[in-house]
Amino acid sequence: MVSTFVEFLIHGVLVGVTYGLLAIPLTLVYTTTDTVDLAVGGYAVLSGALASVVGGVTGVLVGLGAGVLAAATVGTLFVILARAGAPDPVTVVLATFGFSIALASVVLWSMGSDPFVARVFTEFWQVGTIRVSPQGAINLGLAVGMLVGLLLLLYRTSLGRAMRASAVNAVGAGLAGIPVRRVQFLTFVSGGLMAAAAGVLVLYTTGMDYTSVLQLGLLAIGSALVFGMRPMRAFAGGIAIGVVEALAGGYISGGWSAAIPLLFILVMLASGRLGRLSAAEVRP
Amino acid sequence: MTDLLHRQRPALVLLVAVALASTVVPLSAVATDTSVTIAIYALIALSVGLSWGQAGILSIAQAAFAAMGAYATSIVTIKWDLSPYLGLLLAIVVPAAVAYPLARVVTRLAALSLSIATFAFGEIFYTAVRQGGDLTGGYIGLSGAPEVSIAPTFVSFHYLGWACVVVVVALYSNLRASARGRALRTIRHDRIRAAADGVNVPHTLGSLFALSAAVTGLAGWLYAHYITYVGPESLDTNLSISVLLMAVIGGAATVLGPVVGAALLTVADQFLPAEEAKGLFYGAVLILALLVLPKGLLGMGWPLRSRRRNGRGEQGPLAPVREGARPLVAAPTRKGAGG
Repeated sequence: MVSTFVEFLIHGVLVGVTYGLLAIPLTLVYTTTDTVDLAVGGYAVLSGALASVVGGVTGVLVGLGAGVLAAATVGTLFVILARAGAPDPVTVVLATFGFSIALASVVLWSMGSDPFVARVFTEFWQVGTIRVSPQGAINLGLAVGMLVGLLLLLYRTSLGRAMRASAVNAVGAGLAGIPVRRVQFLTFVSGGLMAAAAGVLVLYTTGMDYTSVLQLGLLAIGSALVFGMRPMRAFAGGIAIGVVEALAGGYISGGWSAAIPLLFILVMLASGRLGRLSAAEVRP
Repeated sequence: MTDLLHRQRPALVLLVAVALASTVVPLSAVATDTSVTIAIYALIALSVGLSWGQAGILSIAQAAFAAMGAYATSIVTIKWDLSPYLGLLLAIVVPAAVAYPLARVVTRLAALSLSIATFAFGEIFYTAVRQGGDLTGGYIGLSGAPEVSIAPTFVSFHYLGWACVVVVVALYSNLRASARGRALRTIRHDRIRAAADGVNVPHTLGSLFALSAAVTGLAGWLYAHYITYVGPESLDTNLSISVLLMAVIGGAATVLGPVVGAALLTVADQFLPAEEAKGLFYGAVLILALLVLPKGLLGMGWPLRSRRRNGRGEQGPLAPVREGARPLVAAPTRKGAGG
């Protein structure tokens, strides 16, 4: 009984890290541009689908490349909107949302509506009475590695300093000689790379289809919002949502289980307590 | 009198447009069907205009409220054999009654959190409908809603649908000219200022959101009795997104913008080569609209712009609203990278 619970818990964490990985680019883009790139789900599915269709290491590389290209398109869109005058953040969010609808349509049109799934491991590790998928360990390792890399980038490199400066005060950063628009563009692109990598992991973990674009995008934004719009918190949020999802799938019958993660997000957002420590900033 | 004419210009323009369209639409069954569809979507898009354009509440649950209205009337007319007019009352009251407390909770949130919260609410509602067993018909839905006695034919439904749109547009124009409309514009601009002016901000936003849910509920009632079927997929989140797009294209802050957007997109839909291309088209149109017409077709100025009057009364309802007061996610002071 306890071992089933632990198994659900571990499964939830291992799926949750992919959500966390998708949520981190959102926080990164938010930090440097004041807006959010909702198309991360699109990059993930595009990359996962291509990795599955092309296959092998080439497929993974093609997928990552496509994800980066798509993110570069969104970055360009952002720069165009920004050049036209300080954009309303909601306008940018809507534009990235439109892009993600378009990406879902492209995946559906070119690669069909069948789910994309791939498995490397057929054997599970047996730890006592608990079964753990090696893929999960890879997810966790890669995710933690990318998170550490990102934090090093932000706090130990000059690009990271430029990114943080653009976030705190874009005008001031520009006056200090930081190419703010280029930094913001690079943020979109690196976020795209992370999302594309997360997409490949999702492909090898649970699989995906074209409808996952919106689903993953919204899980990502949910993960980023529940604890706060910062890389570590978003990562924790992703894991929390993964765990809630796994426990709901394990213990709640049928149709209702799909609604539980959303209920979790709604309750977390709505509860005023989190408002003080998270992005759910309370307004009068 | 001229004041009334001036204020009600959108409704009058719409009335003339509908009258002109009604000379040709009834000649073709396809055109009649399209026209009714446009009227239903226009109502839902108008609710987006109300909540987003007037108060800055970007809700992704509008189709869910329409579904709520459609289910309310379907349940009382099909399961309990009651009158469709009681269904109409419930289709308007039930979504409004659900929307008010929801708004009290979510309008405290920052813009993006608010949208995600409404999305989550919508999906939970659809799950509830699927799990509703015999009452909601589960995955199969409810079919066989009776015809409405005042609109027994498709052509009469065209008149009924557009009559609803005209009435809503007229009420909407009234609201914008009223003290409450001005309060809403102040809230959108700066909530603290509105509170200082003596506006009860949470209540005002809650009632506006309830009103917008009531309008979509009306659309749901029309839908249920026109299509005579409602299921969990009938009025789903995709529609919430489409109506958002309609409002953006037409001009979310203008009264008639959502109606124009609904007409354009519904007609354009019929010329798409394949269902798969719909997302590509919608996404491209949304991005293009935001790049080229950020305020929508009717938001660019004339011809429906209300004239400003010598420093008194309306202070340009279509005047650009500064967005600075609405943080997307959090207050700037709380920002910064790192965990």
